[in-house]
Amino acid sequence: MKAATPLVILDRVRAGYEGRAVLDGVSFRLDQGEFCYLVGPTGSGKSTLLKLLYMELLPISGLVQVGAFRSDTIRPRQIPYLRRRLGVIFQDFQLLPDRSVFDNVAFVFYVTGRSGRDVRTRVLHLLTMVGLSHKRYRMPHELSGGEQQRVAIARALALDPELLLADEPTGNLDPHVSEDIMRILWNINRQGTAVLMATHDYAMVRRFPARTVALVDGRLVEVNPGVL
Amino acid sequence: MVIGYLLRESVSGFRRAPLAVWATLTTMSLALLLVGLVVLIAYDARQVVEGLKEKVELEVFLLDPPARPIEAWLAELRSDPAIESVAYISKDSAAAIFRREFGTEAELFVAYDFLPASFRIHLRPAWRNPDSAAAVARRLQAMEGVDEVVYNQALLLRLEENVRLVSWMGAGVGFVVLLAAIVLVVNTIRLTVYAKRLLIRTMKLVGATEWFIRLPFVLEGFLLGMLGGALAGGMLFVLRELVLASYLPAFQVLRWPGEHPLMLWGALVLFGALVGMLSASFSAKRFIRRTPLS
Repeated sequence: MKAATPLVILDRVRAGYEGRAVLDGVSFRLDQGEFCYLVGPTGSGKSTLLKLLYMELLPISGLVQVGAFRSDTIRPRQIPYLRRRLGVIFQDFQLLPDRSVFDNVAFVFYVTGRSGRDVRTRVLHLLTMVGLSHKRYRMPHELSGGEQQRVAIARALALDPELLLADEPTGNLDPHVSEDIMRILWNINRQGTAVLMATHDYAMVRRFPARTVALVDGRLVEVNPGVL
Repeated sequence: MVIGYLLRESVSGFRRAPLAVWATLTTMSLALLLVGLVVLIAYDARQVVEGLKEKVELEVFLLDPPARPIEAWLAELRSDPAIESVAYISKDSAAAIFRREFGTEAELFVAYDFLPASFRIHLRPAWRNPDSAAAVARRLQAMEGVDEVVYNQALLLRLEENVRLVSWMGAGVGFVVLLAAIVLVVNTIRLTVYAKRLLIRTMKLVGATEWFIRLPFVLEGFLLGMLGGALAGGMLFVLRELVLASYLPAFQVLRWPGEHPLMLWGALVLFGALVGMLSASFSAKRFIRRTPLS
């Protein structure tokens, strides 16, 4: 059997803010194409761990490695290139309210220096994937919460990331819309993109079971999703 | 397309954050107007002083009869690097001038030939200061056949003192105004950057490089600076040519820096563009680094 290739490695990571450690001695590995939940109560450090992965925050000690990017050697100017290999979605969608659905997705291509006719084709493909190509000229405020999150997912997938980080993506959505979003994330994972999803929606974890890690008192432990 | 995107984004603030843009534009215009005013006042003061200095002349009275031919004198004086122009006033001309200036009262002096022949000398600008003028006067006095050298040393001394004082004050005021203008512009341009914080956050999130995020702000700052400079130049023109000239007609005699209002206007546009660009770049850089992604 072929050994899985690690995509993310956290090795004895200590991290926090202004000298106060939120995570202490966290070790974690996520392989390519894997789906993993990150659970824990509010304030347990889930978002902090995700910040370490898109290197908004660097560890106080220990190592964070995402693909070829290592926290101990990365330079500030290399961080944008790391982020191009990741897709990130948040609870509050973070769409640009002054431009259409199409432009919110196409924007990713423009700001990473891509242009041309294939941008249009690619944006339409992404919007079709999340079921929103027919609403491409709508503005974000004209969409429901679930639709806005789908636009955010399309945007996150624009550059074919190896890893999708989802920080409480269903936190603002009602249960049946949350299920739609979960199915989309599930499909994305089936196509080969690794997904790390921070959530405290244990019902959703039980409904779509996958590997689950929990943050308890600043440490990461593997848990059985069935017992949550 | 990418260039098109950058250009669209750099002018988008005018539509998307009009309040911030207007605040910046107003501040920039007023700040640049102040800078322009200081430049103009300094230039005008300098012109007035130079005009007064230009009027200072050295009168070189000759012994009678002249020790050598007038042409020889003139040739020597005209070759002197300190001397701009020389006029010879013969005894007859001196008498005519005396008669013209004193009118009928001059008739009291029956004979006019007590008036000596002289040279009226204007110095070149670099020599129009008390020390240089005194040195030239001493040199002329030492020439054979010269009776006396007379000039208004007191005026030159007073002008020199005032120029020094005004120059220091002007430089001080200019520096403070310039600094205030830059601080003001940097602070207001932050408004335009702040108005786009969501855009900055999203750009960072999807992996735009810092320069790519900054470039539209730099272009916007450049445009706002140019516009601010153009408005300031326009206001300055109206102030000087229309308002001031109607109250103080003497100002119409004074020249614009570079001989044409467009020169100062162009300088303000360029300076505004530079300040706007640098301020925006500085503000955006700080803001980009501080904007969190979540």
